[in-house]
Amino acid sequence: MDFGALLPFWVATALYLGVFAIYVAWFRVGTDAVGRPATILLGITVVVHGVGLASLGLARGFFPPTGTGETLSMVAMATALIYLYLEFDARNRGLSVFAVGVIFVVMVKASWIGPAEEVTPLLRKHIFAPHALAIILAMSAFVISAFLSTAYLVQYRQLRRRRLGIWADRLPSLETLDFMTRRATRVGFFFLTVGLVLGIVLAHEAWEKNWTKDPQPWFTIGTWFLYGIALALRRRRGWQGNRVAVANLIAFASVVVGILLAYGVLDTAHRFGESAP
Amino acid sequence: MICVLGQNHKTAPVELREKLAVTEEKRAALGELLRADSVVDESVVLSTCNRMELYAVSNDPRCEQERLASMLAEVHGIPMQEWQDTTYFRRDHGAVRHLFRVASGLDSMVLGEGQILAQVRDAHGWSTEQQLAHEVLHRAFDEAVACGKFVRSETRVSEGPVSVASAAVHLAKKIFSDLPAQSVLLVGAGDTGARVARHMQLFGVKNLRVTNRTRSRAEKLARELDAVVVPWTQLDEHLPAVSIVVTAVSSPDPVLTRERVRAALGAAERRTLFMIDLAVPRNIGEDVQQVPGVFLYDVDDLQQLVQDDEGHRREEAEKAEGLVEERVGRFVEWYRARAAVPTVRDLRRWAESIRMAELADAQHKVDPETFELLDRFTARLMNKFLHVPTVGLRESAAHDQSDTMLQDVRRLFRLDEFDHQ
Repeated sequence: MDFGALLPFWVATALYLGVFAIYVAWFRVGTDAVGRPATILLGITVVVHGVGLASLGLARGFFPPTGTGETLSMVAMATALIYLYLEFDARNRGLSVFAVGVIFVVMVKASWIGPAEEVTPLLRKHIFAPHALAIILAMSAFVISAFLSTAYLVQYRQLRRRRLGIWADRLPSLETLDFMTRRATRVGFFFLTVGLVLGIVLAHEAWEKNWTKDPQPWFTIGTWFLYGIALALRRRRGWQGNRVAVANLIAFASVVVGILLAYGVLDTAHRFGESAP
Repeated sequence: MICVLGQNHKTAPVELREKLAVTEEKRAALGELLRADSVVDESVVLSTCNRMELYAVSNDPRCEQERLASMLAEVHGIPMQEWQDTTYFRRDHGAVRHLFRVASGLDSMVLGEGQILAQVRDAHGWSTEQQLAHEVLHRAFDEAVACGKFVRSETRVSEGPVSVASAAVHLAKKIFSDLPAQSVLLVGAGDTGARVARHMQLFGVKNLRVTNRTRSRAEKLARELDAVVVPWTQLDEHLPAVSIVVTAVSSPDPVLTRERVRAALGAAERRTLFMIDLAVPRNIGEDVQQVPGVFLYDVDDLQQLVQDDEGHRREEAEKAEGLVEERVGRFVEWYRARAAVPTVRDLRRWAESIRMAELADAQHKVDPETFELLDRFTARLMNKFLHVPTVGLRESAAHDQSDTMLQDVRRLFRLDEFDHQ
């Protein structure tokens, strides 16, 4: 493995670890004096991470992600970006430890796998890059939405039980969590729609009707429906709060199952670096 | 000298504080007295529901407690003897520390509360408009406000509940993102419920409704709280429209049952209801807690929250005191260093006068170009000679409480005999 290609992954991973440590310190003391440097360092880390991925793409002549490691790296970066936006918008760092902790774990995995050494022609097609980017942004938004839904349920339960722990103290209000969840889910649904459409076009171009035999796209369409139902129930039936949080988590479970199946059990062309069916 | 004469919730009950409360009219009259006074150089009047304080700056030793108190007595038309025992007077370091602690919420009835910061800022603003505050109080109040913001961002002294009422607000803020936008229904017209309602108003709640079996009592409280009266018989019609319910009526049986609350939430657009039951026996059925979207807290729950937070608040307050002391120290250093300004100014003038006299003597003996060179050279030389003593005088004034070095320098260079003209 080329050390130069791995370096951006390692640097980003180390920085995320540093950010995570500061956010853990913030979680204990809760003051801006500790929180502010964490936020600033996270912003710097996202920029460094982006520059690293861009330079990898420039060196190779085609845009990442073209392998599992790069995909995970971009998911981590996109999640960090969306998290930063929500932290700024809600002026609350309550989810920082969880969000950055998961980002760090994803980056460790990404660094372990590293960038792709061989890239199939399919992944060099023009339409692949926007498809991949849209899907990654969607997944990142759904990851955040899942965090927020979990946080909502934790906060809701603590308030109902009348025993506020350290979590309740740090988390935003229930209404804020609900609002942020709605925002993250809508962003994710939008990008998933774009990614699906582009993906179907790409698949048709590459495999014609054979793509309908691949289970992975159908899982993604199923996820799209689940999130669509969650959004529709909120809009049409007035669902809010913990009902929507549970619906979001069910939809997110389908994302996780789909990824696990695609990379574990299913016979699918949706594995970067392997040949198409 | 900076000093403060004041009265607050710790030193005087509300009946006495009411007597010294400064209305707009009285503030204007007090302002006139302060402006006309030959002893007070600068002043700021701070008046809130829990304190009345008069800050003054003067170089005249006659600026004492009695003088300031007599102005207040004149404005209010109340003899000093009736209230002077309930006031406090602090000077210099003590006065500055007091101001910084007040701005940081460390002297407030609710530790760390934020409203006082705006009140301190407004008091300074008014005095500035009236040209009552000048250099020293401008700096003192600016730094006090900065200190207040710093303490609140660097510690958690303003977080967490200190009373049943503040615990209720604390919980409401954990449920609702926009507390001022919420509507509150107060069931019962007693003091207990009213305290919680007032506390919510402090945090911006405007939409308040009051209901009570005895309509006249509800009307009386509604007038005090600027609230709307809801007839007791129409309680069920108003429940769907509110998001917070505070109950404190005397009743052997629950007033709000599970069926009533479920029906209200079913009819409501919003499905969240925060209910605070302050009565014993309780007004809200325990099974109401099982209704989805309901957050029900009784007085024991709120007391427990307060107790859980007490130790933590004390720790944060200690941290805050340390931060305040640091900032007070920096301001006092600046203030004391000012004492050196007249001496430094006189010293430089004395040196400049010698330089100019020598230059005048040399002017006719050299050509204009050489004269200009001499002028620049002697100016630089003078500045270099005076730099170290100038810094020394400022540092000595900042750290030494006596005027020894300043007086010695004035004597040594005979600055008091020097004709500045």
